Amino acid sequence: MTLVAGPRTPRPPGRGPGGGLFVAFLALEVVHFVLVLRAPEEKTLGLSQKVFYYHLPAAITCFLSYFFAFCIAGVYLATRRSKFDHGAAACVEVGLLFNALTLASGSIWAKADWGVWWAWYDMRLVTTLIMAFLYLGYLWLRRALPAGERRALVSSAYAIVAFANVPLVYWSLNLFGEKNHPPRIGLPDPRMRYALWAGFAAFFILWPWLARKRAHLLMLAERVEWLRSRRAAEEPALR
Amino acid sequence: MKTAAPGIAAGTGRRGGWAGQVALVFGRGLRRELRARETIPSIVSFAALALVVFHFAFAGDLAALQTPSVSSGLLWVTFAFAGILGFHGAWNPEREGDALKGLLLCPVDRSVILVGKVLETLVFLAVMEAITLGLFLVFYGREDHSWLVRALPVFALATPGFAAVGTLLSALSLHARFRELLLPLLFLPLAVPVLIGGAQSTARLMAGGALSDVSAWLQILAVYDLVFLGLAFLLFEFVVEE
Repeated sequence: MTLVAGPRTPRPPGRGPGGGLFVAFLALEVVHFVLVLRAPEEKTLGLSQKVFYYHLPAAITCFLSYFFAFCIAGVYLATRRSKFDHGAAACVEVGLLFNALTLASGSIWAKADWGVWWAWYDMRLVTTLIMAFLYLGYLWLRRALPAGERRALVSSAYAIVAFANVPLVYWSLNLFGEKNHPPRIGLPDPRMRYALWAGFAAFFILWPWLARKRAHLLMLAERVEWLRSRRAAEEPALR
Repeated sequence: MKTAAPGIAAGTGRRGGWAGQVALVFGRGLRRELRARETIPSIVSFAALALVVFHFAFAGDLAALQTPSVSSGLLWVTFAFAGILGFHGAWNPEREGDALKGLLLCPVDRSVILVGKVLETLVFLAVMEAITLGLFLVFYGREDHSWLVRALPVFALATPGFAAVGTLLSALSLHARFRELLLPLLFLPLAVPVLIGGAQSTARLMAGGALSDVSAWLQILAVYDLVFLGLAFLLFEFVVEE
């Protein structure tokens, strides 16, 4: 069966990202875990502070993922190349994963430290929750539209709008009430800093692997959809 | 089938200029609403019903409902949900009979259509808010109503933000499958800064505060309006592209 390339023919799929980065992540995560165990307890917060070595890297990775989604969505609107639409969607999905990790670790820390699973007066945690809803909306929007250029245009526009809202949410929550997020934690012992840096390294290696893998899967799904539509239309080019 | 194209296309010759074109699009929407009387009565009815339901939801505890923080929240929740219905009302007629296609074929800049629609939505929201405030004073008002005059700048700043975001999101979800479910999911997280700013400043004013006490919230509302009107200008063209 030979396919004739026509206008808007999806690119032939490549092999996608290999497993090397994932293996590197696993290795770094083992190192990270060991360093977290060996790091001394923080003097005011105690053992619960160790959630911080996962919480902060997850939060930063989540935010960066959404920022990249914002940028890549803008590039899609400028170029109309579908790989940027897949990239933006992948960044949002991976961002939501790290968003969930941030909320879960933040909730565990709140329970350990303040005795409650959720603290409305912690404006950073609440901002993270609002971000999760914003980007869940992105996924719902993509689900509600059939694959194609309209979906890509509309979801790219929404990705830009959603990111623009994040600083406004943070600003309004900052005025809202008490700011009870744990104060800036000093890391006087170098073992604490090594544990944090290992966390950042592990997550910053995991993130691009996940994002590229997901973008590749989205591209494959679109290609399958295109093939189905060609077969359904009984194009004479299919033989 | 009546479309926008003949009227607006003809009008652009007689009354040129960007503002004149916006007035045509805006006028078309208002005339349609005055003829059909669908959107404004329904969102006002919804808002009135919401005010009644809140009384029962709070177990009839009038004292609790009259505290500034609770009554302010009650008001802004009502505005938000009734507003979502208003966004539907502004765009639903465009889905009938290819009216949107006719509108997009008009020889006008896309920003004309955007601003015309934002103004149309703004009128719907303003009428709904005015009537809702009146009912609110009847159902839950205390003796001192002076906060209402002090709160006018809050409503004046919050409503355009609602209208801009709602118009953009309605256009964005125009061709979506479960649009009626989708619009609240998209709108409510984006409206959080307005809801916080509106509710906080209204509560402060209800408690006897002065307008200067809520200046920070007014700044947030003003910045929100500028940011989202600007984004709507930039992105509307992509959103309605056929």
